[in-house]
Amino acid sequence: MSGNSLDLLWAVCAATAVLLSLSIGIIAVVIYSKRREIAEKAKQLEELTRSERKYRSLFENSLAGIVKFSLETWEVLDSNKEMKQIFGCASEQELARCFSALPPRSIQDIQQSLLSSDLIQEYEIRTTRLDGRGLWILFSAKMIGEEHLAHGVIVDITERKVSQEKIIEQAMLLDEAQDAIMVTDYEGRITFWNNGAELIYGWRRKQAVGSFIRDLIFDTAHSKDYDLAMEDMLQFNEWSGEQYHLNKEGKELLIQSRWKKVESASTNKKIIFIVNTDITEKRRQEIRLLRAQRMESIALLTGGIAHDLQNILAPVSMSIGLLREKLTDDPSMKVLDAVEESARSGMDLIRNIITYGHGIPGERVKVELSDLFESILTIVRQSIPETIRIDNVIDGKNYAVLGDANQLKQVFLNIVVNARDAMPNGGIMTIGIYKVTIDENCSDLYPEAQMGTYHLVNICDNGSGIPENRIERIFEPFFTTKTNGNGTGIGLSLALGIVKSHSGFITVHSVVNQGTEFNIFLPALES
Amino acid sequence: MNRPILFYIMLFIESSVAVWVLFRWKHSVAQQRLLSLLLVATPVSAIAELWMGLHDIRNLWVSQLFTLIEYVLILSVCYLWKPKKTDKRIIIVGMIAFIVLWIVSKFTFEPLYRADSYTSTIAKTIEIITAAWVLFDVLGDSDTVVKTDARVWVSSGIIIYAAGTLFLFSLFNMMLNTSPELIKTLWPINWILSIVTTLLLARGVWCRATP
Repeated sequence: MSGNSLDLLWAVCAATAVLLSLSIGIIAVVIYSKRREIAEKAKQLEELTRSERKYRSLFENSLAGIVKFSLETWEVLDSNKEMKQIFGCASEQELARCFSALPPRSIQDIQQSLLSSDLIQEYEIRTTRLDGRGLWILFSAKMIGEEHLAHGVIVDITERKVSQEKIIEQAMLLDEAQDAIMVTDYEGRITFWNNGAELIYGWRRKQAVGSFIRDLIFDTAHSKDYDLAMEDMLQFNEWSGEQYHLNKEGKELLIQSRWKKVESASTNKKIIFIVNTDITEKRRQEIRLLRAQRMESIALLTGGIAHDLQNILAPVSMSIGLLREKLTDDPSMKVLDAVEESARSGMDLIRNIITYGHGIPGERVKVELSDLFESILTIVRQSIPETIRIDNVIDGKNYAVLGDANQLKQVFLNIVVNARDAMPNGGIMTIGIYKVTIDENCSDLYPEAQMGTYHLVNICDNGSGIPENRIERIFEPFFTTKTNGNGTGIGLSLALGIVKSHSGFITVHSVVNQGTEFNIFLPALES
Repeated sequence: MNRPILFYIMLFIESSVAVWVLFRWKHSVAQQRLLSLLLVATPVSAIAELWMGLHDIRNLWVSQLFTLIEYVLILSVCYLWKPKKTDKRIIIVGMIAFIVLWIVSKFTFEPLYRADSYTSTIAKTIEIITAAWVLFDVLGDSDTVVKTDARVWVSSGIIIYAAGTLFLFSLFNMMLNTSPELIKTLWPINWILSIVTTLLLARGVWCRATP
């Protein structure tokens, strides 16, 4: 080959080599770039897959229901297992049905909140499961980047709600209870005070909560009871017994109290649960019943004795007539007079006792009490000293009862004479008659009363009064406070017997050195 | 049979590939079929040239015709691969313009009895540009996987062959006039590149993910 040919050869070779290298280079660069891009993409994809797997796992295994939904169509786009479980659904279609069945008002609220603030938190919804059972859910949601789509988190709070409702129900029941139910801490500070406590003690809940129970319902005389109860309670975890408490007005109440130490498992807080029952009236009624039973026993006993005595005295009375025919001298006649007088007195006394024991039927006619009192006062005014003033507040007539005028006169005379005797240094005696109606509301106050209209004869004095420990016994036969044989102790028991035989009853209220008030209730004679 | 062994190796490989592509013709899509035609045309033209050479028949027109067929088929494949209508239009214009140029050249400056230096150079230049264009499409395509993308294999094959043989063909007449020995020395480059390109195109046909 010539020099030119060689040059051409080299030129072609070089140009070809350059062009080929360039082409291969370009191809290599393209392929390398592409491979690198692909590798990066694969890495990113792997990362994304891993991340998605992680979040998918979180999504699927979450204990809360998670849902992706369209705000416009309210369509479920994605949901996790728990979401279906909450609604009791097996498929996406069933879930979509349940999701659409949420109350329209709730859906509207959620949509409005999400559109205005992109967020809704802990919105409570009452809905139903697929099987129709009730369901309470707590709904939180946030808008996501995509248009009108949101992620919602749903928690089943049915159990919590049921518990809450139960607690409210129980609290309402506590309030409905007639007993005073209260809770205090160990220092005695009240933390709960129910309606029953408000009724019994008169303190409103606002006033009671926060104050110390010892200061609120225990007076100084009985504050030791609180300490003792607390000691026992701390030792045995519970205590029960009777205590005297004070209500807001300062009235003493007899309370059956039960204390129980309660320890909260969650907060470890110790509290005292107290249930108090007001047994003041119950105890009063028990005493009344006991007294009535005692009176009945005494009446039975005295009645029996009186009958025997009547039988013993009968031959004495009868033999006086025979003896008068045989013993005609003056000394004998005097003795016989004395015996006859004593026998008559004895017979009178026995008759009275029998009247107390069994009552005397007597005649039952219309008796106008105001007329009866006019005659009584005529007699009484003659026998009482001038230092005693009688205030007659009887207003007119129309206080008719069905009864025996003589027996009733005896009752009122007995009480008026007692009033006179209670004011040896003078005083005021007030006599009045009122028409009263006893209904269901006040039947507790007068347990012996039948419901209906009564005429109340009120006899008051401002004399020496009767001590509390004696007042329960004044109607017992032969019980008297009068000395030197001034009283037989049969007057008031006889009065009670007569009033009872007229279907009435007597109440007494007395304060030492202030006076005594007798109320005699007799059934009104209806026109 | 005064051809070097490399020529027969090339012929064997090209023929084998041609048979293989014909066998899978039924399962091929349009692009694969166009490439298959190119892969069949290559050994056919080589065999025709060999046979005509052995029988002292002028065979340069076969090479010229092959240049046109090769150009049309390659641009057709690239046309199918281009997604945008504008790109497709540019390719069509380029194709028609070249065909016109080729026809004109055969009656004027590059008759069929001579080697096709000008048209071949133009054809190869356009093929390189078009293939590179397709290759850059691949670069911008985010979903593609290089290994399974037919465009990568085919474009690479076209670029390597066209770039490697550009000067051989453009200076063919000059080399023929200066020293025919030069052609004998340099022509194995064509055969080697032809083998490489055939294999790359075959790999392209084999790709499942043909866009």
